[in-house]
Amino acid sequence: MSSSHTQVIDHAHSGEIDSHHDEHHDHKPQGFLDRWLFTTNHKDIGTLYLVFSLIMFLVGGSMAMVIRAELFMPGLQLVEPDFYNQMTTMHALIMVFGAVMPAWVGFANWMIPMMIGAPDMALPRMNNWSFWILPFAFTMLLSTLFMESGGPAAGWTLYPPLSLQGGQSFAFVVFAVHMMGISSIMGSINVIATILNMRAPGMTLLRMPLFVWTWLITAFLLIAVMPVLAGAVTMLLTDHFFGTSFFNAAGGGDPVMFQHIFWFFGHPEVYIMILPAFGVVSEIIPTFARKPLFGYAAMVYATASIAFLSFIVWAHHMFTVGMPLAGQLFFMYATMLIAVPTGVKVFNWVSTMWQGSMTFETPMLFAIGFVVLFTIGGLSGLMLAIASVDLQYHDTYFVVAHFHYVLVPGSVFALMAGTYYWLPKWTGHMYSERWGKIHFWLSTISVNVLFFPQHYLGLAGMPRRIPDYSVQFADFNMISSIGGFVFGASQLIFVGIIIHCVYKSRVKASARVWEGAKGLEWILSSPPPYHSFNTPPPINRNTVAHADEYAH
Amino acid sequence: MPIDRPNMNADQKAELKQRRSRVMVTAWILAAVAVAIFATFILSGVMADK
Repeated sequence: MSSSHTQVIDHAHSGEIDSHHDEHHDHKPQGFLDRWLFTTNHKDIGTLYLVFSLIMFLVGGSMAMVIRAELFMPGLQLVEPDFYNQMTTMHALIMVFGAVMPAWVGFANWMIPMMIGAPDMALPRMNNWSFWILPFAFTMLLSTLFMESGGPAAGWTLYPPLSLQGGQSFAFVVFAVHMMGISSIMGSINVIATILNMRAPGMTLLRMPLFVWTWLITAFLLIAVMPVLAGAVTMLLTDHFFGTSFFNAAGGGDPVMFQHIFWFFGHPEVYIMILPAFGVVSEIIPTFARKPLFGYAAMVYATASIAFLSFIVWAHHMFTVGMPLAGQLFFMYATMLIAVPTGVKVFNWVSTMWQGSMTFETPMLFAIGFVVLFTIGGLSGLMLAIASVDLQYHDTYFVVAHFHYVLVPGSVFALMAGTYYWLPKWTGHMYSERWGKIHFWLSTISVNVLFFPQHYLGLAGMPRRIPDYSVQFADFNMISSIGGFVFGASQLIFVGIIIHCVYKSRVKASARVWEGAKGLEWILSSPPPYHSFNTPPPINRNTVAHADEYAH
Repeated sequence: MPIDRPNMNADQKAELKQRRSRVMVTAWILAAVAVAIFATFILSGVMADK
């Protein structure tokens, strides 16, 4: 982002947009601290979030390498069982709260103001605070690994009574979770206040890009459920240190109640990680299919339906705790209902591609990979929704395979697709398309080698969260670990591509980087001015990304 | 926050002021909802603990 006084529009494509105001607002703070520590600029804060999440992605990924190395062969190879449990727990906490969620907030910060024609987020100082809480939260969380009692080892679900048997470091874990929650809630308030109040005149709700819509709904989910997690871990904290018995059966408490509260947070949390992915894919596919998004309004309603249903399905995570038949039936059918709006989305993505003039640049490859592989994760989710057979699948590697298919070739592929799609816009330079495609194919092949065999391991009865296993599971585990190592190494290519694009690439990106791209972000120069849209842009057929009224 | 633009007339200034207050009202309502949900879960836990 080195250019100053950049042009605001690509005149060839955008028509009559008045650009002269923004050219005079490219004043970045000069000092390093002023620029990054005290910044209130949505683009800078977006960059901070994205860099932080990439670092956390590598930290969490290193823990995954420890896990797969231990599981490479039967028997205890590298680490003690307790440390192995710390690795599985920390891997999940870091990937969920440190990698995927902050990455989506980074995308939201960068893109939402530009997509709705706003000059910045609605509450820029709070935006700065939301981000800078996170490094402290994760330093505190990671520091537990070096404490006498070790890091959390009860799984990311922190189920009592196991989680209450940890040592003094548990207080650090709870406080870290509180800080992550506060950060997420403040970020969500900012997103909602921005979208509801800062849209350019004419940018009605049903003209907003799908990414903005999915983030609006995600932000409401976050505000609804992060306080629930905060409440649950606060009660764990007092049970552990202050002698209460919320979840302690010996004192009259109920450990199963924790599971209900946790999953009332935990299931919407799954959609918090995937809804923005739906939004990104809905931006990318029309661009490279060179067709309007099929069924824009249906996509919006499907997103809202998925969000609503996410609140009434939580107990499908706990069919095995013992539940009345009526409860099992309700949660089973409600869970299956989610397949309907999700199916609408997959149908619409495929219909958008149908008879389109498709090209397969890296963002499109990752988007198509997302549609295919996320659907596999969705189908195994339907299998898990069936209460009677979940008794067989529960706590096996089938569940591990399912949620990794949804989160890795799901959320993470969408993050990569979005990064390749908007990186030229952010940096003003093109990335290496050749290396992008190498990254895609290596990732796609290895992620399947990594996770597909885990379905078979689960069906054969291998339990999750164990460092050692019976020899009958040896072959599939070795294949899975090899896939894991290749997938892990492939992500170093991703890091290399980004560093090259930011610092070394000499290929300048045009304003409308992709020929088929539509939307307000593409009428800004690449990179966009430090302050953009100080004057609201006109909203018309040329500047609206998707809207049914402009679809023909 | 919605920002000042050069040479704004009185109507635009009034609209800007209204927009800023809408941002603050939205933010405070959402923050209150978050605190209320947290308090509800803690209080229901306390009630059940007795």
